[in-house]
Amino acid sequence: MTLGIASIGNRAAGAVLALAVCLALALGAPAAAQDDLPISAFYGTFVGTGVAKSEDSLFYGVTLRDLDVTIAPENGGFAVTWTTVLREATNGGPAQARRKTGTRTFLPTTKPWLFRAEGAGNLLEGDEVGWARIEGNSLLVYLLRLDGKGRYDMQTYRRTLTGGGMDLTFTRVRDGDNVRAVSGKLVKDGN
Amino acid sequence: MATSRTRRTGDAARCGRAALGVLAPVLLIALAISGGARASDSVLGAFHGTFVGTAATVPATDSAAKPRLRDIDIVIEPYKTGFRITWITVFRVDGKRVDPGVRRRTTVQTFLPQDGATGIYRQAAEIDMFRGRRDPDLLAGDTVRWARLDGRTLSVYSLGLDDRGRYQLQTYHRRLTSLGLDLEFTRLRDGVVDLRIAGEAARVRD
Repeated sequence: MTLGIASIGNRAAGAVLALAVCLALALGAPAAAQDDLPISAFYGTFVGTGVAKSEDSLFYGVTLRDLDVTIAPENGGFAVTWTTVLREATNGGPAQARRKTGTRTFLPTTKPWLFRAEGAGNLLEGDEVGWARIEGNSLLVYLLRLDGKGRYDMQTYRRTLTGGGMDLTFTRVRDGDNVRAVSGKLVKDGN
Repeated sequence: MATSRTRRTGDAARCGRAALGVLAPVLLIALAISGGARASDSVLGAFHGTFVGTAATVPATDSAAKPRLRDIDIVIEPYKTGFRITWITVFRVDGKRVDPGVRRRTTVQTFLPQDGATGIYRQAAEIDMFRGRRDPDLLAGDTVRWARLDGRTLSVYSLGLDDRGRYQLQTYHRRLTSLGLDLEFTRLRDGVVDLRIAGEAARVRD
């Protein structure tokens, strides 16, 4: 009889302990939404083309651009490196090419879907503030900066994995005005 | 006759006060622009005062929603070398102010000039009891606020992230007018404007 009571007591204590451990785990480390891909799913090199629209598109038309992006593990998080080649007609003359590159490293946070830009500084002191997040099969990168008059410039890159590669949408909002939007399709060129 | 003269004198005095009310902000701005380095401080002075008015939501063009009315009460006053802004919003219910569902919200924010920048103000830093002054950290769930002064417009920005990392950026533009202030508010939620509010407020003589 005594043994029986002790056994029930042990089982109850075990159940309480298990519940406490589960709660501690749940509170201590937020779980990713079930349909969020891990960051490793986005690793690779992708190449493609995009079309850009801006406030001037009504008069000057859209511009085409070649897009390359590499997403790779870095410092426990990941790095995104992108190259854009723009071909723009100038004053009716032949198209001239311009090449832009950029790279940012993002470090993990306590939330598996959220990453902090490495070296992010103080927005009010003119530094760029960046972060990235995963939403389902999309990786979003945000880059925010203020100009010398305190007007904000928010750039958002949404890269969505598709069957053969990646869809890109880029938007740039400057103090409430949508100054540019780019949409493009890329195929995976390497891991 | 005497009554008429008194009325004319009173009218003239009222006109004079009204003209002064209109001209004062303009004169302050003109003085500030000619004043050089301290220009933003002087222009900021033109915003000091108490304002009361109304505002309403601006439905999207493809929406059948009706504008929702709210009463606005704004006080802008000096705070150290910057300013403090207090605004009270009374959310009307179906246009009614006297209704059991009416809500009232008070917001107080303080801003100080940003070092090395003209016309930009940072939110006065929170003081942590154990760690001293602490700048807001967006990724840690803090809201980042700043303000800027551009001519006759004082803009206040408020930026925060939700748990998923989606941003919400609220912008309040308050523009000096002969009456008081024109108000414009937009809420940008992860790239999409999901709320616009427009209104106006009259300057109140304290």
